[in-house]
Amino acid sequence: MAGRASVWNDAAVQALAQRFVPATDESWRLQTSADPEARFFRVMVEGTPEPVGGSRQGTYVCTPDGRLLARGNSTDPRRIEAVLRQGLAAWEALPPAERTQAAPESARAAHRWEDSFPVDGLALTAIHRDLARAEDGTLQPQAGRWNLDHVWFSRDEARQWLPSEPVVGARTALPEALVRRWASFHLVDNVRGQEGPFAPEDIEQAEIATVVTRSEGTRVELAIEGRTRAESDGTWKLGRNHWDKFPNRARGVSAQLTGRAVFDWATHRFVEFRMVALGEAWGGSGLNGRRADVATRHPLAWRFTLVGDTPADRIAPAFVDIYGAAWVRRPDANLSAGE
Amino acid sequence: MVAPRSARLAVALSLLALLAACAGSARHLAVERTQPIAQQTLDEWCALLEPEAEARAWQAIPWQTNFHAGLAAAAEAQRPLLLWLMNGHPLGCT
Repeated sequence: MAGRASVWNDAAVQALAQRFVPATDESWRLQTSADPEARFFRVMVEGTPEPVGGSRQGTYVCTPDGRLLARGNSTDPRRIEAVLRQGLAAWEALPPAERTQAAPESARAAHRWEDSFPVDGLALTAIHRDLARAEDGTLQPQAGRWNLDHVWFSRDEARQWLPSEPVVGARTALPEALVRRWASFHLVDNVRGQEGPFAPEDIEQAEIATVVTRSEGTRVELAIEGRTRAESDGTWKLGRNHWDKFPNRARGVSAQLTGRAVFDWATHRFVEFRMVALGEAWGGSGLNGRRADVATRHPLAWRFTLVGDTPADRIAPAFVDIYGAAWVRRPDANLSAGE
Repeated sequence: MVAPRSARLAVALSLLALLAACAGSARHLAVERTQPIAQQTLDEWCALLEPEAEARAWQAIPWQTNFHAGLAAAAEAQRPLLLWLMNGHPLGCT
């Protein structure tokens, strides 16, 4: 993930990007899925629709009808700048008729997890940050050490954060399935890179509850408190899925949660939501930058707020495919490989 | 940026708890070290955890959010497509 900042925060690369239509996507699905969009990608870069191993992360330049013009993968902005310039030169060398082709319908996805975005539910942006101890002993965010994700709850699940009678003082414990979603998939140590989820057997403690602090008109204000602790021995326990090849190692996370939210009965929506989890992480795959060190506790924090309304705000949660929620639309069986 | 004063107090208390728990197991310490944030300092913590503007400049690029949407937009604009791929969506958890 280093390239996200080193390459795309670079002023020269940003200026050059304006001469393209920029797009992003998830690499592993395009490498391995049976979806038409992924098969089209593989024909473009590999010359075959068959799944490919290894890594195809990187930057590609192509025509709108899918002719590859340049590609490269580096965290060095100058190398990616060179890829973009190479692609631009190849584009400008094309006859005009080859620059005005339509995008092939055969590249349209049959399934994307973003299709399940809970329009009428609760969708949150998560910011994950490493903390460090300052000289005075306080915890401070480490500059540049952050990642993001999204958290989704359906309309019915969002309603489960509230009591049946919204009177001040009413306490609601989140149902086990929702607390587990937090502990398994959203209080994960992926600040420095993706880390694996926790299985139900790994969750040693998980409690989240709301208390009504105010009720006026159609609006109910909630205080949120909770704590979770999960520890994996490195054994994969979540069955066969997209993540079962992920390098799984001993790791753990403990966290305490504090939040505040406002739900509006008139629209059946949360109109405010702020929650912070403060905790510690240890061990991991190595992809999370902890070098599989289970002895050292790393302080970190997660912040959860309502999503905005841009397409980027609808990117699916990293572990949406193993949420186990019936409302999340899965790919058809014949397209499910690699999803 | 400096943590809210009350937040710093909470962290200092958590360190004291850590010292007091030094005789316990590592598992016990891991639980005891973490103190909840007070409701009164929640907004300050939310602000503190906002990534620095210069660190999120890449989000200002008007990215299409999937390959096919990129191809369609490139055809519309009659420009080449720049496609950036990572394991985990680059605009999400990667």
